[in-house]
Amino acid sequence: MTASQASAAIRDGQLTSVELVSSCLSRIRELESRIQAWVTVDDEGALEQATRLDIEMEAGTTKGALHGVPVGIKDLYCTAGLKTTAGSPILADFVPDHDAAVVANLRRAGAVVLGKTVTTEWAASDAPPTRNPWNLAHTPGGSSSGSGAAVASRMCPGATGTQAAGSVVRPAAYNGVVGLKPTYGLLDRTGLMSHCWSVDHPGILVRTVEDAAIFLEAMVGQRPESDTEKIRTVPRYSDGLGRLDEAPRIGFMRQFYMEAASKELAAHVESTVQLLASAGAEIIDVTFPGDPELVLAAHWTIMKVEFAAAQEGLFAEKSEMYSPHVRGLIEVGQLIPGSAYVQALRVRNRFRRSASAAADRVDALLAPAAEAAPEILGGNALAPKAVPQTGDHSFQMPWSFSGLPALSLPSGLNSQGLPLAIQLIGAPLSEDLLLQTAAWCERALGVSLQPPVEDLIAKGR
Amino acid sequence: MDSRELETTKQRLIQLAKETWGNDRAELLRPMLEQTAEHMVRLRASLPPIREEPAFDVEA
Repeated sequence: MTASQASAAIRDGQLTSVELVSSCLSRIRELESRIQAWVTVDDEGALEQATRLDIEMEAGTTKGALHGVPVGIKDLYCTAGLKTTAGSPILADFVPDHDAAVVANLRRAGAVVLGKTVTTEWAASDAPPTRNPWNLAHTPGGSSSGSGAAVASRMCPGATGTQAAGSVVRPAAYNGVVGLKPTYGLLDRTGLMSHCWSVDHPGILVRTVEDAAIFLEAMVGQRPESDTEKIRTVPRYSDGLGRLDEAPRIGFMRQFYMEAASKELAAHVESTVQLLASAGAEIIDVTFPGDPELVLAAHWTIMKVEFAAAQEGLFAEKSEMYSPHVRGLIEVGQLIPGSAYVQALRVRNRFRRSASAAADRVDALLAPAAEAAPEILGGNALAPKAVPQTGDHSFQMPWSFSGLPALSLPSGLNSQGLPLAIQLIGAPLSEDLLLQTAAWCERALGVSLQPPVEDLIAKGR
Repeated sequence: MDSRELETTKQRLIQLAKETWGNDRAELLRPMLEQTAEHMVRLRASLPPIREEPAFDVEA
């Protein structure tokens, strides 16, 4: 059941929140030993929240669009009274006394916090314990590894993620779910364990575009203090999903993406674009709005420096408690001269302008979401130019770098039965149009994926 | 990319790593340091002079 279906069923009295939460907890019990998507499952707390929300519903009060709907929270967001580890042994026993702003907004919209989903250590790219529910030998992606795997395997209808490089879009693609990384700054980052301030984005992993819209509305909440008009007065994204009067105009970025994609994925994306064109979309060729190698070099520079700065105090005291790859990132980040950081910021300003202009000319830009289907787990993160253990970031990085909103949409399976996805990119703060375009594409493609986890359940018995 | 500039930048970064983190750590970090040096040289080589960007905006 998707979040919107669950919400409607609860509102209509066909389902209680307690029933839905119990069903999710039961699914977690069946699958968790194999998939390992959760750091903490708050059985008792979730059932208490659900009971309270059911009582409110009976009394005729609804909190919001997610009333009674269980959600997973990536273990990088502070949760009041619930352990928040950021995937690090340093915070193994840290229990915040406050909710992150996004979590508080979800609760205000009626969501039930089911527990905390696995993040890689400090949201970097070391392998998590989590497995891909489509094939346990493969990576679920990261750093929002647990959220992607939990949503795909129907442990919860939706979960939060975060993205500084590709940590929402890539795990969404690898697990066959919808992932939305909104515009930089649209979602309040208060209470989010910082990774890299100027590229950190809260995000969403769900099963449909409609759910992405509902979650986004809930997570934005009210931001009357924002300096930006479009953040102070966000639209009701879910109201506009069917509103595209005409088929969308889509800018297909072959350059960079199709050259770097695996052969199988490239062929799949070409045929997906053909399907969209057959359904009426106007497809135009768009050049990548910059030098991809320069964009990636600048993004890595910013990430390493900001990550080193964010960790500086803790690292000085507890460097031995970091995994080798994360420790390396911090040590190298501390050596990068300030001049390189400033040059990287200059590159970003230029790229943001050219990327925004390219996105403004169409309803959405389109590219493969990841370079290939999810790889088999393994590899050495310190090896020269190694593919990170949660997959290659380079297809998602430009949109974290520029802050433009990006959405991963499942588009099919490869020959091994692993998910493939396209990503759609919008102009800054144009999530309404991006979601409308994504909903149109979702309808045109008619792809809805469910991993074959029933075999795992049978084996577990 | 200027290969001489790249080699010089790599050596400087590796030397700095040795002084800061010790020889053993610097050797372990060598691949990451070399990649970082490539990024630094690419950034230096690819941007227009700063006089063409007088109103540089440093906001995130």
